Amino acid sequence: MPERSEIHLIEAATGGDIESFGELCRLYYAAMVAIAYCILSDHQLAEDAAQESFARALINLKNLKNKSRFAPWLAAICRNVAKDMVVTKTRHISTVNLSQVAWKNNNDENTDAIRRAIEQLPDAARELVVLRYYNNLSYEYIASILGTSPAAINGRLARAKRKMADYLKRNGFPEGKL
Amino acid sequence: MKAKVNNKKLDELISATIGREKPTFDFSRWKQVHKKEIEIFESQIANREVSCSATSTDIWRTVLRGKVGRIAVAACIIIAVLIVLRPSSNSLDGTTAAYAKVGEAVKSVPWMRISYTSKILDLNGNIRTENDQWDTDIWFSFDSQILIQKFSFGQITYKDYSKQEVYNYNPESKRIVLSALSENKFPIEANSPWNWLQRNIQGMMPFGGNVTRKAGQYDGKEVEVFEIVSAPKSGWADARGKIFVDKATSLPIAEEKTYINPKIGKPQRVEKGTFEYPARGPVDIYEVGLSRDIPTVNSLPLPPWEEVNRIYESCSRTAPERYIAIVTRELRTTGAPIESVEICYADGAHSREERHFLFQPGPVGVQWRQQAAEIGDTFDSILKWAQACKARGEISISIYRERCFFYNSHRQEDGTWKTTKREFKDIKLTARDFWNLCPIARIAWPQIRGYADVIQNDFARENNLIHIESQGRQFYLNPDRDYICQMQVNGGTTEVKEFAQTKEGKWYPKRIEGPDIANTVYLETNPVFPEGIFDSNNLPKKDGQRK
Repeated sequence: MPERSEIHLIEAATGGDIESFGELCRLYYAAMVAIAYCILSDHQLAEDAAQESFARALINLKNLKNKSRFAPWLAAICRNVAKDMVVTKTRHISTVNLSQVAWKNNNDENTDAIRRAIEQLPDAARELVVLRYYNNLSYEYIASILGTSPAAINGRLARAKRKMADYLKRNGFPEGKL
Repeated sequence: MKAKVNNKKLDELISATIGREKPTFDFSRWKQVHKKEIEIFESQIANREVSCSATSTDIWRTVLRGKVGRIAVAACIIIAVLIVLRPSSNSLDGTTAAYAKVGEAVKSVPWMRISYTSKILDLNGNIRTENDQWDTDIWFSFDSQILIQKFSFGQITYKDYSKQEVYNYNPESKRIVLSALSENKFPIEANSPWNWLQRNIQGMMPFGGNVTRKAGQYDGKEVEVFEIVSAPKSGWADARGKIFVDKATSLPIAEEKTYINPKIGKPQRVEKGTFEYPARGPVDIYEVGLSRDIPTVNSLPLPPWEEVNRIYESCSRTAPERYIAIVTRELRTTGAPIESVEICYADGAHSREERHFLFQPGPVGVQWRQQAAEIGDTFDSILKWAQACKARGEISISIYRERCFFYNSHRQEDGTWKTTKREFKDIKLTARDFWNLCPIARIAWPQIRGYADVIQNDFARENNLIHIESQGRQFYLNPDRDYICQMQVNGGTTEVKEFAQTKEGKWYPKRIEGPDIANTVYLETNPVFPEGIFDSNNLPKKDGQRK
C-alpha cells in the first residue's frame, strides 16, 4: 500500500494538480527506468520509456479506478511503452540480444554469464531482479511498485537467485565465485 | 541438485553487472517536452469540473485552458465584449445603439493593446499551480496590419500581414526565426475589426444571454458598465462578464469575466483584461521585450514551424484504408539479417497487428542464418513465413475490431497461446488510428515535440529538404515525398535510403538505416486479405497452427 503522503499526492494529481503528479514521477522514476530497462536493455531508452510512460499515465489518469494501485498501474503502462519501443524505436536491442550486446561491449566473463543467467529467468523474476539490483531499490519500495508485500518480494527474489545460481552452475560458472 | 547460493557474493555479482546510479528526474524539463499531454490533462480536468461535453469550439462559452486557446480567448475578447451586448436574437440587425457606438469607436483606433491575466481556480477557489495563472499581451494595428502576441511562458510572435512575414521568438532555442506568413488575410481584415467581428458572431452566442447597462466608475473614470449573464446550458460553464466602457470615448477600457461551475456554483476561471489604445505600437519584435543581442535567423521563403507542422501532421495522418504493411528490423550491430518482423493488416474497419521476434534467448549462432533463409526477402515470402508462425521467439497478435481488442500474449513453452479480450466501451478506432498503429507512420513521420524552428542549412538547401531543429534533434523533411522525415540526427543519423510509392501515389520509406537498426518496409494497398484474417476465432491456438 502506498504511504499516506503518496495517497495525498495521488489524490491531488487525479484532482488536477500537475505538481503532485511531478512528485509521483520523481518518486517512481527509478523503478520505471528499471522496469523499462528490463525490456529494452538500454539505459537511455529506458529513461525515455519511463518518461513516455509518465506522459501516457497523465492523460489516462482519469481512468485510474483504484488510487492505492497507482504504482502497479504506472508500472503496467511503463511495460507497455517499453514493449512498444522494442519494435518501434531505433537503437533498441531487445532482451534476446542482451548477451550479444554484453559480449560486444564487455568481455568480462562474469558479467556475460550473469547477464545470461538473468535473461533465462521468467519475465516476472527477471523484472524483480533488475528492480532490486539496477538501482538497489528496497524490498518495501519494490513491493509498492508490484502491488505485493515485502515478504513476497523476499521469497520471489530468493527463488530467482536460486534459479540463476543453478543456471550458472550448469553452464560451468566457477562454484567458488558463487 | 540445487546450487548453493552465497547471497552476498551473488548480490555483488548482479550489482556489478547491472547496477547503476539512481537516475534523477527533471520534472521541469519533462513538462517542456510534454506540453501537449499536460494540455490534454488540463482540459480533461477543466471539462470534468463543468461536466462539459467539450465538443464545441465556442470561444465565449467554453473554458479554454490550452495556450492556443488562451490566445484565441484574448484575441477575441473585444469581439466578445461587443457580441454580448447583442440581445439574444441571432440576427445582427438587432444591435443596440450602444453596441454600434462601441463598434464605431473601436474601428477608428490605430493600435489596440489587450493585457490579460487569467486564473484557473480549484474547488476551494485557490490557484493550484503556477501554471494556472498566466498573462497574455496582444497588440493589433488595424492600419499597418500587425498582430503581436506575447505569452508569459516566453514565446513571442510578430506578424506583419502587409509584408507577409512573421518573426517567432523561441524561448527554448533563444533565437528569432523570420518566416513567410502564408495566412492571406489579417485576422481582423481590412483596417477594421468590424468584418471579422461579424464573421465570428454567428458561432459565439449559440445559447443567447442577457445584457444590462448601467452607469458606474472604473479607475476614476465615468463608465458605462455592461453586465453580461449567459443563458444556462447543460454541460457548459455559466459566464458572467462586466465590460467597462469609457463614457468620453466610447472605448472599452476593462473587462472582467468569470466562468462558474454550475454544479457547485463556484468560479472556475477568472479573467481580467485592460484595453489601451496607444498611438504607436512596437515597430519590431525586439520592442516587445527582447534584447537586441538575440539573433534572428532568416528562414524566408519557408513558412514557420507551426505551419510546416500542420502539413507534416496532415501527411502523417493521410492513411490508406486497405493495406498490408510489413516492416522488418535488422540489428546492424550484430550483423543479423532480421531480428523481428511487424505486420499490419487493415481494411478500414478492422486492423490486425502481428509482431514476430525471430530469436529466443541463448547463444547466437547458426539459427540467425537459418531463419534468414526461411523468411526470404519478398513481400510474399515474409507473409507466408509469418502466417506459419515460424518465428522462434515471441509472437503476439492483436486484432482491433469495432470496439473490442483481442490480444494474444506470449506464446507459451508448450506451443499454446494465451488469448485475452479487452473491450473499450468509449473508444472506436478508425482507419486513421490503425495507420497510427502501423510502424510505417512512426518511422516515416516521427513525432516532433515541443518548440521547433525551421532553420535551413546547406545540406537542406542542396537536397531540397526542410531542416527542423527541436530540442537538440535535427529533422530533415522531404516536401516532395509527402514530408517524410528523410533524415534524423540525434546522436547518430537515421536516414531513408530508398523511397517507394503506393499505386495510389502515397510515398513511404522503403529502406531506413540508423546506426544500430535498419528497417525495410513492404506496403501493399488494396490487397486481397487472407481469409479470416480479422476473425478473432481464427487466431492461433497451438504453435504453428490455426484453428
